[in-house]
Amino acid sequence: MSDPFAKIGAVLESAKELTLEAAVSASSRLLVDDAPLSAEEIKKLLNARSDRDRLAGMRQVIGFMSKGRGEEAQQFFPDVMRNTASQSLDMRKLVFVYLIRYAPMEHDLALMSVNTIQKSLSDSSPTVRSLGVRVLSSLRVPAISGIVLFAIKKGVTDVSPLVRRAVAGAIAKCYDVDPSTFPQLVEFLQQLLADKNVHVVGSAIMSMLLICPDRLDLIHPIYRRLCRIIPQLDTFAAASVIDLLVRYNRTNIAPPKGNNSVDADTALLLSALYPAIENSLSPVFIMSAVSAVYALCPGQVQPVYQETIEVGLVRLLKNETLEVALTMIKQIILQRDQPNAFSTHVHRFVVFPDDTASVALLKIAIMASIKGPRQFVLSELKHYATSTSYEREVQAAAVSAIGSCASGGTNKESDSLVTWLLRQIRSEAPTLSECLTCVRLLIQQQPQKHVATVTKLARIYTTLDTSAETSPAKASVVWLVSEFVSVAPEVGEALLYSALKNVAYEDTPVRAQIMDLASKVYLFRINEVGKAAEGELTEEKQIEFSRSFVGQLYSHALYCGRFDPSYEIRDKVRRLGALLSNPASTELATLMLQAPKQAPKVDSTNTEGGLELNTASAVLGTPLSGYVSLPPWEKDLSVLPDARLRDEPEEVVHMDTEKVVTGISHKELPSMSSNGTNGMTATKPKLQKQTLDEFFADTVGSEDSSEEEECDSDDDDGEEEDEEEKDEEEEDEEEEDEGEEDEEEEEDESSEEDSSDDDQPASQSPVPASQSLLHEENPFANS
Amino acid sequence: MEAIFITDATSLIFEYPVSGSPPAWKTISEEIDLHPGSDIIQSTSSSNYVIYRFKRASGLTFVIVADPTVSPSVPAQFVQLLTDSMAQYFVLGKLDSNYDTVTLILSETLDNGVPYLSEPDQVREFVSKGGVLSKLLSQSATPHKVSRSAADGPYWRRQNVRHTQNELFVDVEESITCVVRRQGASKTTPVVSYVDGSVYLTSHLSGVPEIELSLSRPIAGGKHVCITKSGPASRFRFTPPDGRTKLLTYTQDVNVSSYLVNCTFHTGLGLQKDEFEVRVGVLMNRGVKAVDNLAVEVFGGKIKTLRNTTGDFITNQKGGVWNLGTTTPMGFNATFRGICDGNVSHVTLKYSLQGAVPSGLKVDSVNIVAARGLGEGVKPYKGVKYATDVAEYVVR
Repeated sequence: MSDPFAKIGAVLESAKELTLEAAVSASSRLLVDDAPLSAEEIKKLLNARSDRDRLAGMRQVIGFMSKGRGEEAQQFFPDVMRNTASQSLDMRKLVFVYLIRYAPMEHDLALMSVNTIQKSLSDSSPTVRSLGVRVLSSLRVPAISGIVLFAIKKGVTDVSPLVRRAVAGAIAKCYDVDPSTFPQLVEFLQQLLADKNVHVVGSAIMSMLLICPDRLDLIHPIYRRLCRIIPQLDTFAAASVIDLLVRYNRTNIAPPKGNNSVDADTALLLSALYPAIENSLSPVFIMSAVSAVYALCPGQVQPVYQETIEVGLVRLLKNETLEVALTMIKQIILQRDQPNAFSTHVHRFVVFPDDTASVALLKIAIMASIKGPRQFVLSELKHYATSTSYEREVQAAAVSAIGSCASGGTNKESDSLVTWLLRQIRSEAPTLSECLTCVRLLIQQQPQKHVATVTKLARIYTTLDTSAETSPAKASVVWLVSEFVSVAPEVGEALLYSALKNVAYEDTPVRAQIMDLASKVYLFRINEVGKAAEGELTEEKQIEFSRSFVGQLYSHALYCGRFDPSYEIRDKVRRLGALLSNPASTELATLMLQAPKQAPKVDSTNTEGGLELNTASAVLGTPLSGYVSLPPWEKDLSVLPDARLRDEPEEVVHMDTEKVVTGISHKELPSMSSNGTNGMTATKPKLQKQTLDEFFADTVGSEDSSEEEECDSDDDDGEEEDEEEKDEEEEDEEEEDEGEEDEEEEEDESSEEDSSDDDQPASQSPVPASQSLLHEENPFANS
Repeated sequence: MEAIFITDATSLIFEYPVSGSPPAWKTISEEIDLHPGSDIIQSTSSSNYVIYRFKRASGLTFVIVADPTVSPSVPAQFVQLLTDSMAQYFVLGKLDSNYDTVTLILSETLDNGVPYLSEPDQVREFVSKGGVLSKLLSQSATPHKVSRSAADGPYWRRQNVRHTQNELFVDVEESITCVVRRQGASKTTPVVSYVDGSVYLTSHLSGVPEIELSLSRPIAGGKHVCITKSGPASRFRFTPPDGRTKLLTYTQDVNVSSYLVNCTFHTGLGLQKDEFEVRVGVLMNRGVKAVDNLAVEVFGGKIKTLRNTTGDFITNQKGGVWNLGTTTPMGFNATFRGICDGNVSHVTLKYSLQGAVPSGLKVDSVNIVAARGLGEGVKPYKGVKYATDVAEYVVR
């Protein structure tokens, strides 16, 4: 800061920036916000002399396109085309965006611009060349596929990786427009897959996934290199590479042997994934890596890595990725049969009042299935079920979750939850129908255990007043007791007796249920009589029975029903009476009234059970179009390609080491060998030093200096590095230096163990997820 | 991806069809309206679309229509990239006068419907700053030159960075997530309480600098691609992208319910037992001058104000919002008493402050250890800032 001129320069610079900004905002206001120009005026602008006017016109056109007024923008096609060769790169890019959008509608006119674009392929600037390739291939005009193919052919050997990367993308687009070019395209693709620049390889893989995802044989020679460069790729490409390599593993590499070892090549991939899960900020990368680990590790994931995976996924529990990450966590807990998973992170699944319904439901499902601190989980679930802070849908889900906890928990826990559920029925909870469904399911699962529950239910009836608010609860209680007459017939009789006393004052649905209860109790008893008489139910027996306690209750109920104000009930009574009066039709009546009802269906949100992790299908809970599950491991070792196919020449091994700085290095991954207890072994190849000559042989054509960096494998903070700087003959005379580092280790994790008995993780069947309940055809689902 | 739409509260403000036959906004918006509660929707009009919706703090909503085979995290990360990139060029609220820039950003970041770039600073390399017009106005600007060879430095950093004013800022930001249960007269116990922290680096340095950052304690969590170190650490050495970057993230369990601002409420007061009272208190702190935008939202039903010591109370259908002003001094207490026709179910608290973070993380030093192209004798200005805000603070 000693130089006053520098200061003045800085002031002037900022003053210039200010003026420019003002000018820009002024002009943008002038051009966009003010009265829109007429089509004539825009045409005039587009054909004007000055770049500035033409750009202004182009901005108007882009405005039309962005505002959903595409038809209006289309009329300027010829005028816009005149600007294809504009001096301004920005202008040209805007023209290209326009061209790509409207070329399919204006084939002939679009062809006129092809010549200009073709010329740009020989431009001296790689940016212009790559832009040319991208635009040409994006036009989607079949007539020029020859030209596109030629451009690709030329671009594959371009010196600039920027252009080669564009070419890699163009391959997929070219195939899209003209599939007949496939044989040539695959050849070019093969060249690009072996490119020296990792980003070109990344793009090539993405294209390969689009045009020939099944040509996994192309991967053989580059498999190991791909594993190594994963940390250096940009995250979207890395995720695609991981997905591809998982499929490659499943079909081309020997499956994990028994429970405790994976192939060395599988281990190589895994070793690239763990650091990513631990450190990456990229959701795409983390989620691909996690699903890859589950797809490749036999059975249960190593406990060491389980924690890493959990921490990595919990990190995604915010903002944009919340729902997606929750889905994955839920799948891992349920589908992977790992109830212990995430138990230390249970606090992260607390539902907030402003969570969207789908997020809240996912959180509740996760909390209910976590084997964590039950006390905490249950008190939270009860809160969600009762607090008015939450939407009804959320409350209902919480009740269902409590029900599933009650059916799965310990006896003591289960009892206290049943008591809690019964208490909810008493009150006019908005979740009444869910509570009843839960109680019903519990009784249905273990009828003998729940005689007391039915008794409690019946007692609830007597404690409820007769009013409009309580009638749904009362009706439901009567229905439930009548359903379980066979479990606790005495309770049914007692309830019928007390209910009949006040039947005239009850609401219509309650009265209807009392009639049903009466007939069910009667039917149960008369069937007993019939059974006692070995199936011979005569009229005498029936008349005799009608004088019994139950018989009298029943006829009293019918009598009351006959004078009911509701014709529906009168109708019902008449039907029941006719049905039960004749011994011949008791069998039919039994079918009608005591038909075994299906247990309530399990929560539909659990149906994604078998879907692959990290797919949109899993998030939406249903296989969507285009959904493919992972291929199973190839069991037949004889059809597997020879592992030697994956051997690579010495120079390839060192190809990408100069850029280790661009990613997470392998060297700090948790050592698999430290986990000695489960018999894992890992051989560490010696760190190999690369000679300068080798390094120069590999770099693309850049003549910058490089130096080696030696790393101790156990280094932590201070990486020792020798630095050497050399002035560059670049346009800017910039100092360049390039850290270069050998990273080459843990190639072989020869074996890996797991603790489960399942030796085929691919076909792991999902847990039948009866974790939560859904009400079936309960007549009192109060809506 | 098939199409990208950006809307504000009321209407569509930007659309960018990606594929050759993009879905129409009208169809998509109708389907979104049918599912107000979910952000990921399976399209019913076409089995080939999944609709992703992202509401951003800036008030914009991004809608991305993607193929069902696309991994669901891709649109999420792409929206992040897009907003970060756009923020480098203009204030997100001014989208409607920057269509050209957004169009250029999208044309660079997407190729054939697939993300092509992954770092915002890469985008800067291909789309010139200040909109296309400013380029023309400043004819003196250096001719557009982009030449990237494999050796030009890390891919996440733009080439030929030039700044007349070299600066380096570190921002430590923590956002509070906290749910507390009321207990007794004035006590609350946390149900869950933690902070999500991020360390941002704003680098305006010419050339290719290498920076060493050291923190007061080791942190573990997500790291930007420029950091190669794995696992927990307190010192980092890296070459940052130009501009503002999220460098590190971490999560820590801290009892934040008693941190600087506390809040509780009581119900069942008064003769009719239908009154409630909300209390807010701000503690003293050396590093913090004031609490900004303190507001309490009460949920339960229609509310009638009885007594209010400070601020405005605005009622709405579900309750009301008690705004305590844009700045609230430290050591401040306020009470609100009102009648609610329902039962107050919970209150939420929002605030932000500068000068401290709940976890107490400090930046010990940030140094430029190597600076290719920075120039001799240039001493960049350095600064550190701490800020806290609330993601969720629920009292129940």
